[in-house]
Amino acid sequence: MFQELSEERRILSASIDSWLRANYPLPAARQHGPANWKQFAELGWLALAIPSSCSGLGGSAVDLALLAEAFGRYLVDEPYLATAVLCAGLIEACGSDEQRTTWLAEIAAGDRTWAFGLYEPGTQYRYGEPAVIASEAAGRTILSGTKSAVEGAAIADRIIILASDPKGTRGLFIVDRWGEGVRVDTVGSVDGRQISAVVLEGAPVLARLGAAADKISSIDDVLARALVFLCAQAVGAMQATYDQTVDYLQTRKQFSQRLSDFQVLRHRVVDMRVEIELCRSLVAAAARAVEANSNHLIAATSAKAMVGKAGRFVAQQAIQLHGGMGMTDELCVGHYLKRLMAIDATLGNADFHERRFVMLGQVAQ
Amino acid sequence: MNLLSKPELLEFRAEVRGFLSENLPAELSDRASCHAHLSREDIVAWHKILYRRGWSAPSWPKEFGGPGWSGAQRYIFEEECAAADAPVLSPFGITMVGPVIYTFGTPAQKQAFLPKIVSMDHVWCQGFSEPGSGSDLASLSTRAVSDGDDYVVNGTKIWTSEAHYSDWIFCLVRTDQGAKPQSGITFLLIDLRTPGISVRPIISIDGGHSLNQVFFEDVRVPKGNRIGEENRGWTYAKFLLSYERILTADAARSKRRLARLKEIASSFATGWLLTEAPCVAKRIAALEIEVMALESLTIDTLLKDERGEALAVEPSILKLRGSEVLQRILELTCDVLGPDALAYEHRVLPKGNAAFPTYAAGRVEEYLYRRAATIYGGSSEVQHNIIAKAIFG
Ligand SMILES: Cc1cc2nc3c(=O)[nH]c(=O)nc-3n(C[C@H](O)[C@H](O)[C@H](O)COP(=O)(O)OP(=O)(O)OC[C@H]3O[C@@H](n4cnc5c(N)ncnc54)[C@H](O)[C@@H]3O)c2cc1C
Repeated sequence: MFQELSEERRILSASIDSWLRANYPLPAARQHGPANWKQFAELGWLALAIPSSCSGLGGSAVDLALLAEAFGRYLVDEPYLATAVLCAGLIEACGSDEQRTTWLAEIAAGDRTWAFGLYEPGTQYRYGEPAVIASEAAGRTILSGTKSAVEGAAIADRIIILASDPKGTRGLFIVDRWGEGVRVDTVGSVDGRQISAVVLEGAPVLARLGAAADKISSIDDVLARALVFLCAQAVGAMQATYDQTVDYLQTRKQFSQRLSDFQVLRHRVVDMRVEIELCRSLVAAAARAVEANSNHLIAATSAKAMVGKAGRFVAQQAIQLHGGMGMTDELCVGHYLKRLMAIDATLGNADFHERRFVMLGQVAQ
Repeated sequence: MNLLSKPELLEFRAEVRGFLSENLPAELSDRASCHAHLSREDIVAWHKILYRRGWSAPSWPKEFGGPGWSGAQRYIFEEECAAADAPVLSPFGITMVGPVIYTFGTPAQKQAFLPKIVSMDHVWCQGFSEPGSGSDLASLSTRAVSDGDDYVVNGTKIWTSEAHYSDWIFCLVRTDQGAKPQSGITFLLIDLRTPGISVRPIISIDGGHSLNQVFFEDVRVPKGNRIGEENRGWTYAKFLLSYERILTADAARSKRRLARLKEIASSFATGWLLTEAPCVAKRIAALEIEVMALESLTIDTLLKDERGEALAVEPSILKLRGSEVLQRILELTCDVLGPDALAYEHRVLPKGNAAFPTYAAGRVEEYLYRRAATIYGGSSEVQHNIIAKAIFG
């Protein structure tokens, strides 16, 4: 994805690819379970973005993008984003020294999984005014309200909840996923994973992340990194479905010609390629911006907007060019479409990020 | 101005609407609005309700059991059925093989098959496409060899919608290997319970099961089940493909999809910032205008057809743009759903869960399945070729 990569990063990228190629079967033949998660820990992937001071490898957004690109290519299902990017990022950005040391080490070792409850029903992608309330009752803090579109909650041990405290300060509160007052409703997601709502009915808070200060700007920073992760995953998925389409057009014959001989289809493949090259470059630039912490919000937002549209275009064309074959679940093209749809719908779709781009521009002026 | 606002048509519309509101079971319209694929039971149940009213074969003349409606009436019927979320009638008997049988069939065939199509005692499916022959249908290779009073059929058909619960399949088979591709094809009606036939399910990207592959191994088909003459099947297939193409724009159903999208969008009104609402409203408006144009061209074409004028490029234009517009409506629906487009298997939860709103149920499924709208029934690329040929020769 990147024009220039250090030797170290090239090795990282190649090792991720070769492990997934050898060990991660296609969707039809896939088994979920804790085994993969432990493997990811042993491979060091769960520690990738955790600072070296907290048992991590100290990787940046660029390293995460290399991992994500491969995750996109091999359609990796595990809720890596929730634990290793979002929650690890929030703990790092907002946690006390002790919280960071303990919890990040647990994440790196694959001992605990986390989820982040950010959105709420009916408010689309806006999270600035949480209706989940943290209140004091019988000497302890409890949470009430509902979080929606939570990835990874079904299998998480801990959930971080964005809520307003009695002073109206927006804080990050941790609950035990299996504890009292916490209900997790889960359904299958469009891309064959799981998506949950977290219903809090007086759920006791295990801890608050860091001091009682407003956490919105830290959340925005962590989301920028998560957006880069999603975008890089999309680039991997787009490239893979494009490669399969190019192969298919060169093998399939109709009217005694290869499909790749029809000019209209050749041009369509060219349009797919154009989108992918533009996305790849913009996403790489966003990863560097987030790594350097310079204009990172607008960089991440623009990449997410671009990738949302391009991903849909590329995946839809891949199906169209496969004809009936594109419509079966036996091939991967459909799985790429569904993963790209899910990526678009996660943490703000293209529509939302175009509007956010306008808002960020106005703020900057 | 509005071609459908003549008094007798308004009256007809009211009659259809009244019938639907009294006879369409709520749980049927509920399922039809949330699921891309209905069960045989649901499809047959709805068909039989229409049958009892004499409306189960809307495009057929009276003599074969149709209502003998005008084009305008057929469109109004479609529109009202769509607005009420009535299940879509299975097209394979009514709009495909039925008209072939009443146009080219023998008296015995008409007698044996037509009443059971109208009553839906036979569910039909279409065996045209093969693994090696999709857009290039004439290259098909399923063979039928003459043996006494029978043909012996060997080969396979693919993408056969509804085959797993059908009773009969109409097939194009090759009876002359030597002739030009189009000249060696025969049109056969085959009972799916004949020994030697097996059906393999194909799960589509929406996770549903409507597609199948059908295998024929030494299947004996009586010659009495051949339509018309041997080796002239291509002519009948072309007739079939040109029949009732005017309604393929699906404008009536797209109007319903648009109405549903608006319902979703307005249920968000409180959740949206004022700056967000106009962007969505503008995108919905653009599609609504497209649907109006499709509807207008559909009605113009129906009337032109009724006057007996030859149709040139209209059916292809309607299929081409109609399928694109319906896909764009479903894309925008996913966009408007935003994070609610992630949840897919709504069925597992009881209704009324605020975090999984009911209006989202089935919308992403429909988006996924209708990616096929630009593939089946002659792909968009094939429609472009047809129109280009009409323009340039
Ligand atoms: C959901 C669904 C339901 C279906 N139901 C039935 C059914 O019930 N019965 C039945 O018989 N069939 C059915 N079909 C099959 C359908 O008719 C074929 O999929 C269609 O004809 C395309 O053929 P193909 O899949 O072999 O694709 P191909 O013909 O291989 O086409 C692949 C791609 O190449 C393009 N292409 C092909 N030729 C040209 C050309 N000359 N110029 C430019 N582009 C070209 C196509 O447009 C497409 O984009 C169904 C298909 C789907 C997806």
